[in-house]
Amino acid sequence: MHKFWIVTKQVYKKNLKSGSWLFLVVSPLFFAAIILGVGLLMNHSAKAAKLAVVNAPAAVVRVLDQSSDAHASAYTPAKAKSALQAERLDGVLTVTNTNPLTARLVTRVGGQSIDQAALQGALNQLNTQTQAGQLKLSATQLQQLLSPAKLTTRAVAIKDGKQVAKASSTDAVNRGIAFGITILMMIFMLVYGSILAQEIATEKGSRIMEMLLSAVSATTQFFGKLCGILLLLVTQLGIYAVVGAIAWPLLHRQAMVRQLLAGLDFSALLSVNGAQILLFFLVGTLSYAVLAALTGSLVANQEQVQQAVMPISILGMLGYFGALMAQAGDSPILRVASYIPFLSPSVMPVRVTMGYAPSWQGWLALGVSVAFLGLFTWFTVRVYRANVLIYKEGGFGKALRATLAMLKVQR
Amino acid sequence: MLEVQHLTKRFGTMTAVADESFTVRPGEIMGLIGQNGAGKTTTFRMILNFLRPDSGSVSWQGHPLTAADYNQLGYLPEERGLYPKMRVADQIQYFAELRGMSGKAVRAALPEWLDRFQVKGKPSDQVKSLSKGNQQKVQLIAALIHQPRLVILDEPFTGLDPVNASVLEAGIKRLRDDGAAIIYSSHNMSNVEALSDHLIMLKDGAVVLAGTVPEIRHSFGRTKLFLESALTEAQVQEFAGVQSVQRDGARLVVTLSDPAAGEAIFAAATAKGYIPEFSQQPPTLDEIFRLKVEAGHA
Repeated sequence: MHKFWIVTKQVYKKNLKSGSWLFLVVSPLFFAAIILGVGLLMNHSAKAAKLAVVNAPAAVVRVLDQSSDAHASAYTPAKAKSALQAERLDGVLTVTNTNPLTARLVTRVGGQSIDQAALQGALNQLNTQTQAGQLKLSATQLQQLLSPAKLTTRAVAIKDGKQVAKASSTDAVNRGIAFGITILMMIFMLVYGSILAQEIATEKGSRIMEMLLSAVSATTQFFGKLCGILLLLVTQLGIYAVVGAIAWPLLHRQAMVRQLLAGLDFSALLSVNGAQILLFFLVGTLSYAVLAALTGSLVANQEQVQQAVMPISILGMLGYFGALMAQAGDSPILRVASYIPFLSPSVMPVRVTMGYAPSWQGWLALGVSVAFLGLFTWFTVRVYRANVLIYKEGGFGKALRATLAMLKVQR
Repeated sequence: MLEVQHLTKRFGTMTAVADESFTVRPGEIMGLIGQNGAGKTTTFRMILNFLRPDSGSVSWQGHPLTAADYNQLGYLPEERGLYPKMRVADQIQYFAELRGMSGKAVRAALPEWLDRFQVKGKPSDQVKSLSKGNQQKVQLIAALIHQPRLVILDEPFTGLDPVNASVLEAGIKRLRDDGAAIIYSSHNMSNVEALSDHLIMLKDGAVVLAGTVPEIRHSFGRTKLFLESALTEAQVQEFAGVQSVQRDGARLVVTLSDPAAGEAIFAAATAKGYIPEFSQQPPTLDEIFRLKVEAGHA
């Protein structure tokens, strides 16, 4: 087996068995299961309300039964009263006048709730029909009378004093998608960055690194580790995909999930924009992983491991707040931030999705990020190799200076 | 064969190693001695390609050592470390696989190695549950199980009790008998004397001694005399060529400035017949080490 894969396998297997990774994978599933379980339970217990309709013609009862979500049936006043007392009914609707339609609703406290808006709507409809009949209106006339006024909405973005067209229907969706992706990226970048920083810092702090570097080149080791960490990420996503596929038949039937899916326009994700977001995600995660490797290799002992994770957290938070700000509106700071490596993967996709920046600017920022990632990786591999020999106590600044000095004397 | 030729390395104004040359052949053990900061670890790092020499060269089997030769290499760094939460067997297997050994071969060889180094602990134990000495032996096994052709051990005896030091000595000799070229550093001169086929002493980066142990000792002449006879301290002090006399129980320990003085002392001491002890020796390695270290500070 090539040494690259031995390193990859080792990093992958070691973390796969670690409690913290399992927790990372299982906890979102666990919470999703709880939310789903609560939803299921509520759905199960929520039955249609039983409504007694008193003093109404059979046609009215039929319309009420069909147009409101309550189960309506005709009752005599006495029967309705006794059934309500026996808690077999959730409400009693007594029609007191048919022209104009007037009714009184009694609901039982503790019973299934009756959607009063729906009931009112059904009654309105019945009343309108009655009135139309008296005015001798034809069906067409009635329809004309009832046809609502049309209101179409369109949001516009002003860019450089010019109006830029933007479809309003996708606005909320874009906002949601941009927000979701920002959070996801932040979590993955921080979590996997920390795993890698800790991995390397532990090897450095416990002096294993020197032994490893006499067996395998720094470059091979570095990329082997990176690959192992990315495989972990892929495994986590894969586990979610499998669990999702298994749970789909169940999820599909949930009203909550159906509503959520209906509100999202996934076509946005399958567009060029979606590809850009995916690439930003990849480049962003890689940049943070490389940064993690750099800071991880700077530690002198095990106690400094937390210090190694800190720069990643700070940059991650900055990017996250940048993305949050970008959702609220555009600003010169954000325009600059969307080209700065480490920040651009979370800021630029939001700006493009929100329509503040055209697609080509997104590609430009992506290009900048990729070029930076290349240079940064090259630099980090060199530092990683030089750092093995440096154990400077007292902070990262000193360690970094010592490293740069070491780079000069090294191969 | 490992050939080190005219290695020089400076860090800023400090010269870590100056014009260092030596050769280690297969089946040979070379000891590298010197005080802390004498340049031992820097020498190893240049051999391992971690550091680039300012001048001079290192060659292994006639060519510069590269990543392609890593599988023939066994290295124990001065700073010890293992993955604390990993199991002993997994740990050794990982390092051995990185040296090109198959996992199957490692698992087959492991029990014998654990036995040879008398490691107290099971292969399934976590490393952190082992004592420090046993962890060190596990690391040694990780450095040696793939039967390297070139072995570099930086202070392998540090932290080992005398029994474990002997176990390690036996292990190193066995590697030598299998044809490995071995280079190691040590502060403990008795280990060095017992183990090294030849040795190098570094002082402030420069080679101040080189050769086999008997060669080095005899180059200093037989200046140490252990004497148990009727002669008193004052009488011995009278001889020409005597530098100092000290009493050590029944015997006198005489330091000679001229080894030839031994002959006259022997004649005087044995004038009345039998004496229990007359032993004229070159200085021990330990004494030579001190002598050399102090030479610069006078």
